[in-house]
Amino acid sequence: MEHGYFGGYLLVNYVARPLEFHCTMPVKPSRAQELLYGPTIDDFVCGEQIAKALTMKAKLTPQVVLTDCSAVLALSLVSKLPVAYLATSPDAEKCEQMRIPVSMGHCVKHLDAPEYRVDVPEQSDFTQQEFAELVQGIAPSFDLAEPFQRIVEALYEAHPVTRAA
Amino acid sequence: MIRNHQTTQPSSDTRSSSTNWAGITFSDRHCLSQGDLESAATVSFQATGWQGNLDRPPAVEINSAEIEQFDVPVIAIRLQSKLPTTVGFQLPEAASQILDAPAPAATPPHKPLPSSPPKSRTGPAGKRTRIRPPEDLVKLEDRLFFVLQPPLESLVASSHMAFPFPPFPYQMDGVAFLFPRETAILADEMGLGKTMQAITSVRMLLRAAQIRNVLFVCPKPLVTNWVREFALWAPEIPVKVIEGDSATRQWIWKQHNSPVRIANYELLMRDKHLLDDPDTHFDLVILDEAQRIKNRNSTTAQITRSLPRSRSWALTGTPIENSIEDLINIFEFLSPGYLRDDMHLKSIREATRDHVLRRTKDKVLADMPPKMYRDEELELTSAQFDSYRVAESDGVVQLTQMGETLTIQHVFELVLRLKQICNFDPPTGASCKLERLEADMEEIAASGRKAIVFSQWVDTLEKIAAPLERFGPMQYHGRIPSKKRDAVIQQFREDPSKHVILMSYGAGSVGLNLQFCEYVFLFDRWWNPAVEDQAINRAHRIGAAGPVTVTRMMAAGTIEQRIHEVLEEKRTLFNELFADSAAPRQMGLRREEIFGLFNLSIPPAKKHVA
Repeated sequence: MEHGYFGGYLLVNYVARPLEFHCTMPVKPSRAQELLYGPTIDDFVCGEQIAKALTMKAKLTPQVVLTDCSAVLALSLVSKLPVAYLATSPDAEKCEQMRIPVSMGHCVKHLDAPEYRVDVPEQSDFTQQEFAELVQGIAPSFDLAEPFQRIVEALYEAHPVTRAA
Repeated sequence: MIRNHQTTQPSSDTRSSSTNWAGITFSDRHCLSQGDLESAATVSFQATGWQGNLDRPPAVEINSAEIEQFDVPVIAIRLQSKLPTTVGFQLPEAASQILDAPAPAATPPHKPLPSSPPKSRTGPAGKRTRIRPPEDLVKLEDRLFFVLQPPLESLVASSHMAFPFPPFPYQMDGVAFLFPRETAILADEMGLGKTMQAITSVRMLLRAAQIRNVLFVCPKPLVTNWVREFALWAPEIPVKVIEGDSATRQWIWKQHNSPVRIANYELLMRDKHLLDDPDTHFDLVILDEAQRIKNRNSTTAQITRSLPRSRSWALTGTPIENSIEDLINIFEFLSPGYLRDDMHLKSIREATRDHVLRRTKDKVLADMPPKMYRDEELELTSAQFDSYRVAESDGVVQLTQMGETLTIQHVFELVLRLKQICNFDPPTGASCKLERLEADMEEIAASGRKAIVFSQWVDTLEKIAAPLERFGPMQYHGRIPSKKRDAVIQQFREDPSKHVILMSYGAGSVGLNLQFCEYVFLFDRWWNPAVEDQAINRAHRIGAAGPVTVTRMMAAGTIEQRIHEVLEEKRTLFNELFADSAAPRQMGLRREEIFGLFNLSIPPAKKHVA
């Protein structure tokens, strides 16, 4: 956190192969922003700023934007791309549920598919059926949570300073 | 006592007034609201009947004051709306994605907090092998290309790459090591499957279109082994063996579109002039048994260094056979000048850390059957003892008398003569080792098991064959034509009446899979422990049927025992080099040690070259 927020965005195909990668420079909210956005500061920085910048920059249009950071659900406030929160570990899920989704006014709905459960903003057009089709369409060896690890490692490569953080 | 309650009422009269009675002053100079009066001005008093004025409500006076008007300063805080700066790139596969236009699944914007390991779809047992970029890869985009690749298991599955057997996790680590590297030494201990790891890496690089033509160079006896392994692990890849007459070989050398070609070291020397063709270029050259180029000035080393190529890999179970120079010279092929002779061992170890991968069986194969050593110190027969004593004393006398003309070759000659006597007494043919071997073979054959006997001399092997006839001995050495060798191995493997195979270290120590043998006999000892290890590991390798018993025969109180002590010391030194601690020492058999076998001192004139 010392260096602010970093955002990474990896587009993969149905067999988990990487197609496109983007990352942001460090983003650190100002004191005024922290005061004025209050508890929604993460939503603003991660969803409306970082996620928006990354998705706008990508040349390929994704079927869905998955995130392991619930604050990114606020992307739905500023973008038409479907966005869904995927808990990548039981711990992460517990931790995230304590604070999400502030901007959404606690209005999320759950979508279920075999082996996966995601949260989407209540007003999202991304449907249960679309999610089920997505999961059905990916390769059996593709774990949807796995690419997040790649993103973390790529950010460490791109921003060596984060190692010390 | 009667208690009356009187509630004050606001007066319409706005004049100021005050009433004083019974010591209480009512003042209406305060501006009271209706509510204030109703709640606060409740008065309790004692009615006496003579104070009629008490029924009159108090007068309330209200004063109005002008509020001073002033401007409130407003500070505007601009909230940043500019989006963060991003950097990014498309990977090669994205092009086909755009053309084919299937909508990709996308993964997330992300806040890079240290994350817990994600849950595995394949459960906790599902290993994920990640490809890491080599340390010398500088360009960020190139590094990210590897970092962003999915786990190897996922790549393999999505490529529909079938394996005849599930690879061991450490083998996947080996593939992940080779795949991104332009220069690499896979130095796994013998028997861990370097062949499979190299073939799988080549297979993946070919599928990823990162390479198009590969040249394997191996010792001649191993060519058929490589062809067989390719058929097993990568049946879809066409493999061409460079062989035949000169015209045929020339034609094959010019087949630049052949994905995989296999040549042997000897042939490379013959076809050197064909490799000078400017159109000849290999995307990858792999040297099997790369210790063959440990001598920098050898023709083999020079030719391999001259091969035009983009990537260079070396496979060897013994990157260091004698001294650290062996490793430096292999690096001359990989990356000329990267290591220098004057570098300290610590610097070499640091410099090679990212280029050399070495694993040993005891580290990676917890369920590998054990390997048990049995050092048999045998008493020479009386005939052998007499011959030995005469040869040694006469030999030492001769060496001593040579003075300054004494060379290391002279010492070697005496060593060899004495070792031969330890095997067989020249005049009588008596042999304490053979007696013991026959006894052991009785037991092995009775239990239906098989054994390998190694010797450095073919003559010795042939002498052993006759007395062991009842055990169906097979022979595999330099006097067996190359074309017949595969048939020998096959018969030994399949024929239950064949209980023993007699092998020379030279022909049988590399590339053969004899894991169905549970006994190995070292009839005599090789100079180098690495070569002995290679020989032993023909049997002690993946798929071994059970524990492997290695019997090291040596004649007690002879030169063999002294050599054994030196070999043990060398083995210890080799292990130190690849350990994380303890700086390695000189690996080679020092000249002093060789002369010391007979308590000889080095002639003064020779000392400067020691």
